[in-house]
Amino acid sequence: MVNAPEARRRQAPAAEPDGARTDRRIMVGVVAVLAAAIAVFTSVQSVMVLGVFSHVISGVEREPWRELAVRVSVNLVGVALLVAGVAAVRPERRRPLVRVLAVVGIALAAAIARAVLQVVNGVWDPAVPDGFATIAVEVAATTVILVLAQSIGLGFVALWRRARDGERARTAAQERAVQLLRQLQEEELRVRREIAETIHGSVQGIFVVLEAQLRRIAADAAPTDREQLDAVAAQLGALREGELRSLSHRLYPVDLARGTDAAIRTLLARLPAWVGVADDASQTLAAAGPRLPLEARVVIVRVVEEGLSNALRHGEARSIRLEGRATEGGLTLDLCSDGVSPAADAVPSGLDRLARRAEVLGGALTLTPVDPADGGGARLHLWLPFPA
Amino acid sequence: MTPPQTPRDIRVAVVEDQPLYRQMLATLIATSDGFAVAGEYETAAAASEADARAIDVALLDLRLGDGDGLTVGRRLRQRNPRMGALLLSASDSTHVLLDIPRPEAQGWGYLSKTSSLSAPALLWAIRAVAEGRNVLDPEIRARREIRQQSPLATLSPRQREVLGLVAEGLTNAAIAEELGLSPRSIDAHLNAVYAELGIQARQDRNPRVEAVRAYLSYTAPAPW
Repeated sequence: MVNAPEARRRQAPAAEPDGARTDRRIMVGVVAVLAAAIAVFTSVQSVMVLGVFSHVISGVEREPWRELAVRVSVNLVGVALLVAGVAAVRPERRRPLVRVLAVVGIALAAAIARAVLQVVNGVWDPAVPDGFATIAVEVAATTVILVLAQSIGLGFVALWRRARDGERARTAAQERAVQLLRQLQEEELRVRREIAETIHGSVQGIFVVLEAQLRRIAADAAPTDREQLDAVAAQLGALREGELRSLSHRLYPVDLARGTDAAIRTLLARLPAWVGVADDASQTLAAAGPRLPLEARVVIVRVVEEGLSNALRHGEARSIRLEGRATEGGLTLDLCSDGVSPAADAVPSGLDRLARRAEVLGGALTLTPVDPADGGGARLHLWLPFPA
Repeated sequence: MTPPQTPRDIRVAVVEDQPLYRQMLATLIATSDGFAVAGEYETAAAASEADARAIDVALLDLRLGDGDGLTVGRRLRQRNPRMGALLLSASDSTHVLLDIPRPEAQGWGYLSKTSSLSAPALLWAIRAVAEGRNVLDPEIRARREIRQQSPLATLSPRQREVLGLVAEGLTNAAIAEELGLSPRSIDAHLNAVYAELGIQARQDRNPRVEAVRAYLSYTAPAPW
């Protein structure tokens, strides 16, 4: 089904594409400049250098400047006709054979028109001996020059087209590369998520069952065996709670399935109790999350995770505040922590990697140390574009 | 063999994607007096389609292959608001209970999978959520610490103790018995906790549920 605006668009005459418009401007521009330059140059050369004067300029004595003015004016009228012909016929858009005919035809028409004007203005007199032959040679020479001018114009157009096509091919290749990268990232995320959920769910579940079975066996075993079995069960528990959980989270933040805000709350909830936490970002993330692409949501979670880790490990933070704001065209997230300020030029490798991922999404990630006089610590600032 | 269901039985649906663990839970429930298995479900999709009116309590694995137990529980409770929901997880992710909107927050519980395989702990928790109480696994609760700079940090040790037991799902009488205090004293402590946390008596909010939410918000699991 086609809606009304769409139907109107289809009925309207097709607008000239940008490329064709540029081609026409180049063609007309080059031809106009070249032809005008030749027109002025030949007039000056004829009158001022070679001393050629009109056969008849009725009632006027031979005078170089007047002669020059007449010749330049006539030539420029010829140039105007040539340019009008080029603009109307558009030789640059024709097939090769038609293009040749069009170029020669326009040149010949402009040359004849110029010759007629020259005769009318007394530059040439067909009545003198060999007058017609001279005019014919003049027309032929002018035609050749104007064909050359147009050929140069076509040459410029061809160069421009080649550059444009090259640029388009490069842009298309870049877009394809970005698309492939995105598909690859999506596939990577899908696989990571699948493995992480399997570890988080089924594998941990199996460990729980094994622990329970071991403890049951231990309950009926001899005291020495019971101690050993309980120790093995405890090791299984530690492995499940520590290693498996950590591995699962490193692969993919499974809480993302419940929303970006839920995943962030999970990270904040796991901070040690001796760290004060203020979460002023959940509401913003809850509102913005579903509209952000999955890769952006993963970047947000990873940035907060890395920021929290750095704040605790390097900054010895005792207080952490997460602020989120939806601004015009984007989403900002600030992770502010107290404690030890990082060096001004410090770029932790984890953050550097995440900054590049944010840049791929059109965003930015910066780490700013807070002056110890103002409490110390750091502010990690993430900006991501917000889809309309 | 499943014992015949009596009108007093608490009907429990088991939603768990790990077959062996699901089977162990179902066997444990089916062989306990006063409990009946209302259904076993492997996926979130299948559980979401269950007849919620035939379920008193849903035992929900937090992480399912095709979704999560929290979402399944909320869907079932939309059709049966009186249903209790007990989340099971291999780790302390109790903060997920904060994702439940306040009007729906009553009657939810959280049990570690390890505790769930102990019959007394599991059956006690099922009964508590069936009665509309909020339940936190005592083992998980014992490992949680009060967060610095939080409102809970200003509570007295006794008040913290009372709040912790409320979070476990104990009634005031049970708390009094546990701490060797009078029920009146527990009331006083609890009222002081409410006042300290800014929890006011409101028709649309159960102060006990609000206290549990505050407990979850301002405590953190101790490092393993």
